[in-house]
Amino acid sequence: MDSCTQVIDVAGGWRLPEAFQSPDVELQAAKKAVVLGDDTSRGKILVQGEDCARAARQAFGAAPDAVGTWVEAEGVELSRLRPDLLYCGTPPERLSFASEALRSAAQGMTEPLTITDVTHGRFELRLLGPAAGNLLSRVCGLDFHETRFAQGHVAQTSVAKTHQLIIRADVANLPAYRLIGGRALGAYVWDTLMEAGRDLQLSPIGWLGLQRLT
Amino acid sequence: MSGRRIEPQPGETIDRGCTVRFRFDGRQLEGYAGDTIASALTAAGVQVLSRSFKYHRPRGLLCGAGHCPNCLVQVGDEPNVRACRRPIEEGMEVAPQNVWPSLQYDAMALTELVSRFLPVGFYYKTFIRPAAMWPLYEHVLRNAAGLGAIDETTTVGGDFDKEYLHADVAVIGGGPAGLSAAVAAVEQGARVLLLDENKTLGGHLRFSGDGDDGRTRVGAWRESLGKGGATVLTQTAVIGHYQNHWLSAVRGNRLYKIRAAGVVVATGAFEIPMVFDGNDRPGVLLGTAVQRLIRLHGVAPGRRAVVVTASDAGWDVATDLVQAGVEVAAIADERPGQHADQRIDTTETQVLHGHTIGAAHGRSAVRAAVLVPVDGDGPWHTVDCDLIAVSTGWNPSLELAYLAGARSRYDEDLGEMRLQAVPDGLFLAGRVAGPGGLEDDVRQGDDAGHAAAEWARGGSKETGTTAAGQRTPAAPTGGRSSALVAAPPTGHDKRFVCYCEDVTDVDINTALLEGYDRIELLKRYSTLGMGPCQGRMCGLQGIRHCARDTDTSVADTGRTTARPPVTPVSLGALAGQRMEPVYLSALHDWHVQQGASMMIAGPWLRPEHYGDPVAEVGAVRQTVGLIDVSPLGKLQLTGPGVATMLERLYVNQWQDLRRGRVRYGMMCNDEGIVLDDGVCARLSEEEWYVSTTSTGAAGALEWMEWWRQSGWGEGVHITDMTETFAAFNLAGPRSREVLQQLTERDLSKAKFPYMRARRAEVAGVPCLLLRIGFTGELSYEIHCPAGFGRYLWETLVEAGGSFGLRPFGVEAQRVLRLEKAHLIVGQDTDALSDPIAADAAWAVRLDKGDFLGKRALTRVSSEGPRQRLVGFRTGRRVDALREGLQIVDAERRIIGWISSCRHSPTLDETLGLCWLPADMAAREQSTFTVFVAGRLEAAQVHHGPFYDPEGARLRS
Amino acid sequence: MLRIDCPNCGARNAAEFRYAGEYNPRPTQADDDEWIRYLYLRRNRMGVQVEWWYHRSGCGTWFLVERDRRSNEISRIMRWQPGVAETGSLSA
Repeated sequence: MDSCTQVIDVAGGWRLPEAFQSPDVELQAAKKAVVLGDDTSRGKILVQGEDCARAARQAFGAAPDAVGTWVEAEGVELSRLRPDLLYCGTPPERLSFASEALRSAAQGMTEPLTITDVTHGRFELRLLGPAAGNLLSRVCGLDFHETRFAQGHVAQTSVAKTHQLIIRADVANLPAYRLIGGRALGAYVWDTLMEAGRDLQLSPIGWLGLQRLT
Repeated sequence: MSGRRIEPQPGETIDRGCTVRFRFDGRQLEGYAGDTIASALTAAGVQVLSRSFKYHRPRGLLCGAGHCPNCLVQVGDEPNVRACRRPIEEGMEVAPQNVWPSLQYDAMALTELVSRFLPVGFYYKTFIRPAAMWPLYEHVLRNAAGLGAIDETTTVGGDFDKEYLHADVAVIGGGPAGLSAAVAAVEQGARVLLLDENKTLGGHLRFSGDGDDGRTRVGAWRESLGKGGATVLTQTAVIGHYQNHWLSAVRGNRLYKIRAAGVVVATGAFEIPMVFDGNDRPGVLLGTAVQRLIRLHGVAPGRRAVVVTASDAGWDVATDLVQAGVEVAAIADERPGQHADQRIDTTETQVLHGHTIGAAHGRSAVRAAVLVPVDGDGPWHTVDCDLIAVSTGWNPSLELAYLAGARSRYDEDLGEMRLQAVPDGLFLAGRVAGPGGLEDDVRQGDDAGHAAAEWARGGSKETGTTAAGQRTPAAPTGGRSSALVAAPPTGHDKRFVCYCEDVTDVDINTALLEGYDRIELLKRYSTLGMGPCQGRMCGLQGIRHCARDTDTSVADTGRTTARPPVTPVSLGALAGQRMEPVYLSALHDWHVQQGASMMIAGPWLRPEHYGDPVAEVGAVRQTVGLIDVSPLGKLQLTGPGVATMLERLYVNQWQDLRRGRVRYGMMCNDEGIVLDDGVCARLSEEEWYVSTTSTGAAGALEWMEWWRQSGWGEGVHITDMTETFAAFNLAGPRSREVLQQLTERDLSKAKFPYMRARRAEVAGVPCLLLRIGFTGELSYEIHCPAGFGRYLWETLVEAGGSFGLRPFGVEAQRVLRLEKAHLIVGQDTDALSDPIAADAAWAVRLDKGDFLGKRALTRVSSEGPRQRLVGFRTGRRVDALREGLQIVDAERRIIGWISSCRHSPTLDETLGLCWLPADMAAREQSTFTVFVAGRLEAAQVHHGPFYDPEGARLRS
Repeated sequence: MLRIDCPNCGARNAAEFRYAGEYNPRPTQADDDEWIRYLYLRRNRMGVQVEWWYHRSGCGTWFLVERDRRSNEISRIMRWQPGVAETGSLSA
């Protein structure tokens, strides 16, 4: 990864780049062009089973009904990947809450439900800025036009020849995407995106900058 | 600037206030911003741009539209640049191609003097024997062949990438038809993408007809497109159309992959050359090339011109020439009768009706035109000139429509291909669909745009097709094409049909006489149409020649199959940005820092060794070693149905596996062939942890999901945990002591025996421990959340320091497992190996219910395998023995092969696994011979593990 | 590039999928001839066939596609269910 000024310790035992230039410069870049940040410390839970949405509704009070959409509830982002598969993304400090809420909800379900913490198995990158969709079009065949993949959409697809989950989660009126993929490919994906976005003035954003945006 | 530059033209694209300096063939030249290389060279009086492929004849600008090969030049390190398209840039270094040692004096041009010894099919006929001479032939031919030069030490042309685009309606071609189609579609609310290969929109309106009116209309269309949010890409060449309206297009160093619901093809038509003696001489230009030079670049391509035509189009060209101050010495109009145009002063210009051109005189530049009567009856007129403008024929740009599945048929009345049928979602508009006037183009574009937008909204197929022949070719102003296959020969010079490959009409005739009398055969044998223009200049002419000489109609002769790319594309654009995903373990940086030699293992990079694999083996055997096995496939299977599903997918039994226990498992397909292996641990009644091979992980998961989702997965959830957990194997007699320091879990043999699974906190990290032994020693496979992988690894390395712990790599592991005679799926097995033959019959439970492979394995079990995987040893060090060597019998017939082989440092002898006939394999210590580069080496059959055959160490 | 409607994700480029050959259900009861047909013989139709596809780069769904191998025209997309390809019932 690109050289950052300092590493910061965040919840869950994670260490992340604090900043690459300065949060101010990085925020300006996000507003003008596009930035890429490492948000891997977020909690990631898979909920499998026919009752996945019922369990989520019981745990958090809401759940996405349609495949390909997500909703937020109790600070947790719930994405419907299949009728029988739900992805739950949480801030690092909400992981154990989400996990426990789901497990207790699972008790009441009739169909078998599998709740798996895959936080360590996936990287999570954030791509923010007006040129984010354009950059994604360099590495992904999905149609990122506003009418086709708007805020609230989610898709599993091929990004830079790797399998990824893309969540459209805008921030501060900026188009923004979460890219979630296999941890072992994280370094490759970061480098590939950085190269693909060179002519779009893509630059890295650190933890502090991401925090100020969100 | 040179005298070739004329008065400013109203629609010119050059900026006369901005001079650009560049070099051509070592000469310093100047042009204006907006000039192409070709227009700047023409303005500077340079006529010879390159030499031809085979005969190295001097060639100059011909089509001016980016089709023909004549103006291909080298720009810096980039070969095959079309000088008529590429704008000049300050300091640009341009060089001619196919010249040696120079453009003016080319040694290879001597090939023309011996050209009667270079007939069509020369390469096939000459260079096939004697075969021993081929290396020499190849060396000479490789140097003579090819276009341009590539510097192999650098990336030619810089960085390339790709981008995906999406549209409701993609319009190809930005002429009047394409523009009106795009505007109509935008007005229908469609998301429109307009693609044009030129720098500016407008198509032929830029350089023909009433310039002012054309420019005004183009401006208005542009404005509508801007308001409607259409995406307009100029200088973008669409090179392919594929299934479901998937287009590929190139713009500079970027390849676009475009998905459109509907496609409007408004690619117009292009002018094609005439076949006559010396028709490739510099100074012979197509009429539209002349018009482009005059109107777009303010350049007069000659001082005294002869115009050759078959329609009014040539008269337009002559008018433009006169207005540009060029003397038009003569007009040869193929049509009989009077077509005099009042714009041409016939007292200045000799008008010859019923005439065409017979020959161009001159070598590096045209000196004169020989005009001959079409019917061959009458005197020839030799007219001095330095420019011959040929405007005799058009062909619609149907290539993309063909790729999309459109059909056409030759129209004798028009002298060109006409569309017969188009596939759903494809719409044609403008000149590509047949000749017509400007208003026809606009109206048809409008219709096509509406229809395409409706189709994109899910409109019916009926409205979605533009029927062929919808256009009436009444009074085509663009003009009908010449009725002549070729001009009457004058016997002066070669007559080129194909400029790219230097194929003459004589070559075609010879090929036909030799029996290559179908158009597809003719193309392959003569290479007609196989050069950079991909048949645009020569395709129709070749078909006409073939038809004439085989006494067939042009329509019945057919055409060659259109294939992408429509126009040449650089390999860099096809490759795009380098994207080769490689899986890195959480410990990757540590391995690299420790000087590990990394190897590719399936999709992963893994340490092969850390410098000394023999010492690594020794550490595991004597003290303790640690290997990163994170690439192992790791699946979590949960639910009440897991045991039942595993029973069906694996050859082993599972229902009886108790909680906390681990069992080796092997998967087969119904042919009984081994697919994958690993271990399955039952963590609780309904929770299983299954490992697969490192390289087969993705395939094993797909295989399991396939059966799970097609009836065998009732009550089963599978989660891929491969990357979620880092995994290490701590192996060696001291491994228990090392690990016990870091965990409170009792690791004693009594509490945690062989083939058991336990959860434990190790150095504060939650782990799953498996007591399994691929290496044959006491060992613990430690699985922990990947984010803690590096911390735990380093903690283990430190804890093992005083015990002599060494990290070990894949190479040491391969030796260790071989000493135990453990097979590796994919190394020791192939697509014919069943578990019984592979010495794993012990794992197969034929007495359980149905499972994948049962039927085949039952048969193998009763009949016995023909070949068996078995161990062998040599009792000594034999470095010549390698994996893959053949095992032979006394007559040196192949009877088997070595699948694994290493020198064992522990036993100090070379040993391995091999495939032998079953009867030989059954006889312990029987000797066989291995064929090693002409010699024979002896080895003995060995049953069971070589090291610790009782397995006491791994159970300790 | 062919566009395929994943029953879960919707239309995607064919490159996201793995093609896994014609639908060839495993017989439960079969004599040797039938079993050999299942193992080794494919119909290889010039025309419409039912075939397996797997959404490898997407949701991981295995599903059935009815496709004309001459034109690539896809007439039906089905999730698997017992007897689905035989009865032609749709559940997408």
